[in-house]
Amino acid sequence: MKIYFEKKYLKWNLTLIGLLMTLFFTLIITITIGSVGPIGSGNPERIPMQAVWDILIGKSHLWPDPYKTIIMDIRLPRILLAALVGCALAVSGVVMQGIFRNPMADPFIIGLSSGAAVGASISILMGLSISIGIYSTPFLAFVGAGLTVFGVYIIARSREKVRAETLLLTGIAIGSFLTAVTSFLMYMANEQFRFLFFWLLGGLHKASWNTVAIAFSLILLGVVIIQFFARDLNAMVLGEEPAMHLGIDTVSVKKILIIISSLIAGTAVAFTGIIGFVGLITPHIMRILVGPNHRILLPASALAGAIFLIWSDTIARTILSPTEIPVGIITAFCGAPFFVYLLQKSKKGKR
Amino acid sequence: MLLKIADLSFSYQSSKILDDITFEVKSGVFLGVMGPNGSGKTTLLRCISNVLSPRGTVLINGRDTKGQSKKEIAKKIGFVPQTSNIDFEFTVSELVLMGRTPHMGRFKSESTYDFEIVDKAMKLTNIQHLSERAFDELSGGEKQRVIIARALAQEPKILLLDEPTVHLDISCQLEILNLVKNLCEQERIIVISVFHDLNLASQYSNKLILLNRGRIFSEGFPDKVLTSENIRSIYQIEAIIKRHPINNVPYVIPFLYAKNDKKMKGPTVHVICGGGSGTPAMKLLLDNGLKVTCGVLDVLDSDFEAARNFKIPVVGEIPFSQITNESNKANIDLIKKADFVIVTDFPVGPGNLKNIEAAGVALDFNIPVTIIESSSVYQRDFTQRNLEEYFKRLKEKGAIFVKNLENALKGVLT
Amino acid sequence: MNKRKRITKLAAIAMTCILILAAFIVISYVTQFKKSERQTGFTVIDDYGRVVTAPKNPQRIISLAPGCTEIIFAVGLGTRVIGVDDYSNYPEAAKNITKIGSYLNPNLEVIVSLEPDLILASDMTSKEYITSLEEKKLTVFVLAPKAIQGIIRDVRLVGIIGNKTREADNLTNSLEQRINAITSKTSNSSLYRPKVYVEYYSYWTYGPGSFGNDLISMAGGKNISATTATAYSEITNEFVVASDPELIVFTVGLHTSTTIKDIKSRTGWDKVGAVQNNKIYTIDDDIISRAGPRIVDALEQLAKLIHPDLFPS
Repeated sequence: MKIYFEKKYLKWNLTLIGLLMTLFFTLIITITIGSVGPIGSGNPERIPMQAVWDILIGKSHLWPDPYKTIIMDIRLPRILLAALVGCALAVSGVVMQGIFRNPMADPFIIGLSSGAAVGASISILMGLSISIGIYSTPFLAFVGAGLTVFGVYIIARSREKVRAETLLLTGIAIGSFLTAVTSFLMYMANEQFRFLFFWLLGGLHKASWNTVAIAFSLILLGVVIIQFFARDLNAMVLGEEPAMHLGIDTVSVKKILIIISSLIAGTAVAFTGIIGFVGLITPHIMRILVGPNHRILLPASALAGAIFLIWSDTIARTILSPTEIPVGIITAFCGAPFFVYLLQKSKKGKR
Repeated sequence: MLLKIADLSFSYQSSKILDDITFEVKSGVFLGVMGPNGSGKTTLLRCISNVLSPRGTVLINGRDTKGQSKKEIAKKIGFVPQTSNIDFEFTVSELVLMGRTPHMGRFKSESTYDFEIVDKAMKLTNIQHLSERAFDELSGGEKQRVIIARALAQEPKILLLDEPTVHLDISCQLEILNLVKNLCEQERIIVISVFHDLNLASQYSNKLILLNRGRIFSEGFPDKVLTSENIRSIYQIEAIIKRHPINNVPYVIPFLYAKNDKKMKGPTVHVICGGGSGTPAMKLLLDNGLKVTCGVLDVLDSDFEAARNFKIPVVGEIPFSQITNESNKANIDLIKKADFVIVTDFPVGPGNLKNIEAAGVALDFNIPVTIIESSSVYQRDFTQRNLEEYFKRLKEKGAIFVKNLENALKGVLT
Repeated sequence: MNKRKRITKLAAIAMTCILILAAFIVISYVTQFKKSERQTGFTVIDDYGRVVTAPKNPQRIISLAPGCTEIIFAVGLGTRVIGVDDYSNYPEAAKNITKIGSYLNPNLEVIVSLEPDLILASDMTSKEYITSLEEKKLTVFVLAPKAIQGIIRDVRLVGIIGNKTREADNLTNSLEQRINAITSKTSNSSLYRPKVYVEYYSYWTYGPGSFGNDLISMAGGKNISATTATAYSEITNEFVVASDPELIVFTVGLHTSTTIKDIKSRTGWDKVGAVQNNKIYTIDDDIISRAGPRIVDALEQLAKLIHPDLFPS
């Protein structure tokens, strides 16, 4: 048995190394893709490939200043943010699907996105980004998400226990309510309607080294902590009682996982609006590829989510250049057909 | 290891599921828990494993489970549910390894010892060849063995099983229970298993608890608990308790006959039978509202037993002997009180030839006699060819011969 | 759960929240105060009240809104424009200039690669974008007029920045003259103000605080939606029928497809005075919705429609 598992763990480690290398290559390749090239529409001009290389290795003085700004201050932070956000959403999706034992669960299922939307609405409509500072919207979105999750948890629990089904339903109910609030705010808004609508569609255009720094610290911390709960998640997907019989304190594990998962998903949403499907389909894809054991599923999904979102964003910002398609549309375009395929597959399985 | 349950009660919202449960189990004892649906059996198990929080105490070697964490309890108690629906494609070995969860810290990985325990658990449950298979591809019996292996990997001192064989076929049932029983005896663990099947409970349990409406109705050795009175009280059915021919434990044979409380107003039919041929006749007659008597029957004959169970007046005779004069007289007395006589087709030998003669006596008293002759006389004639003679004489006296029981009944009813 | 554990937990959560809040606020203020360091140039206050140091003679101008583009061209700076947003289509020359994306989501890479020395933005571009641009050491000047007078002021400002004060003054003078020509006649308190319904999108109209509302009143009309709740409001059939406007004007442009027939066929509208008298007119969407000099064209057209006797064509 020991040999069997050692072989298995070796296979897992190799898979993770493979994914890391894919991520690395993705970073390298996508940094050359953009509106001004080298790969891309090349409008109004095209940055030569050599320039990209030189800038990355520190020889940016050989090329005009704007090149460096574009590569290092616009593209690179954006790609890194995409990686972090994709990672956060995928991991959060794995956790939600595990806790709720529901394949339709995603990071936003307990009302997180609706809460963030309300927070962002308030910030945008009150023009707080002008008066307080440009981080007012991310901050309020984060606060909105956090308060909503907290509120849902409080409402759903009874006598210190929280049943997964109750939490889910409460989250959906409150989420719907808050979405209605957001719709109302959008309706009453005038000039700011556009901004709010755009925020809701999700996009990585606000990426900067500052945002990357904040996102990096919060998201990486959360992902690492969640990894330590892999065994707990394995037990929890067997069912609430089987997990308890295996010694898992399901009540506190659920609490901790929901908090941390909401933290990383909330951070992601705060900076990029609501990007759907990454958190929903990445776990499913990886489960088919590497199996349901969370010790591999969590890190593999983290890396896969990063890769997926980087590519989606790259397509979003170059395919109709100079216009940018909201990345949520690209992820949905890829996500929806795959989702249908998944449903068909599970229907066949059930027969 | 001593498991002590004292004054345990559990209510779900306002309805009381369990009340005043007290019992003890020692190491190496297989305790069976039985009871009708809704008597609280599964709830009891879940209270012991501390998944539910009951009132009262559950003491494991003197320590109350209430103060202990789920992890500590999982090191001592393993639980095997009725079915396991695992929608994810875990392999068998991954699942069994999960049984080590309570022994592993969050930041540690598995040790050599952990793997050894998994090996041992899989060996005991004979699933080593399945280790790389996906769980949901297995058969019902294999799945249960995997779940038991997982529970065993916890190194439990107490194993709780909730109707572990209810969805399995008979060979799987025995396989699983034999396995658990061996574990109980060899590893000296306490096994508490809920049973649906009274006989399986009786076969495997050292002690039994019979629950009814949340309370312990009876507790003790199978002999004490499995009585027809208890079964009648709890399950409202009639049952015969026999001894299992091999291991002498009580064996419950439920009676499929609906007890007839109606006062029999019809005429009386005396059935002369034997060798099991009389039982359907008695039942048919009783179902049709007739009073029945019978005789003479060997007390070991199944017809005799049936008659006793039907509560029909019957004349018995000690086995392996000729019909005595006393028995014969008693038989004739019953015949005289009857309105009809039916003779079923039973093997006739020197020992019970007098029964045939008794039929003749009935005819002398003008009581109609119907003789059922569904097969040829030769086959049941052990009287050196005398039976045919007797039948001829009976026919001359006025006996009616019919082909089967239904016709006999028709004759009686008209 | 026992009390002490609970309190410790709440304290931990509160601490984390405060830390995150602090981080946000600190970073926010730090970036807020980063200004573009240009040694020479004008220090001008833009419509957001920000103090911007604009270059003395900008040669490479990017416009992030169609209204801004029109103002830039109108003061004679059109040759210096090297990038415009997707919707800038006036004057003709603007159509051939490199596009930099929509005003909502301008493409940072393209903008940076064009190396502009001045970017003019409207309030339709979010503050976050503007800050992003400024972080890349670009100068952004925001034009966000609240009324017609604001547009005129913006023309003057752009003239100052672009060193085209003469052209700007000429333009503002002519604009003010044309406005006066209309308001002098329509500000008469005894003038009869016909009820007007103006629609810029199916069932959407100009309410109080919008340019459209100001235009109607300056043109001598009475906006039936002058008292709606928001500057841009959706109205109902009942409201219009009850208000019974004498004149209906709707915009024609890229994102509307309403026709006169549509208006006539709306439920109950056949009872409305404007419909019965066939006083349904169109106006070019671009001139009425953009914060640029052509707003005065819109004013003139509305005045002619509302008071044809006062302002014959």
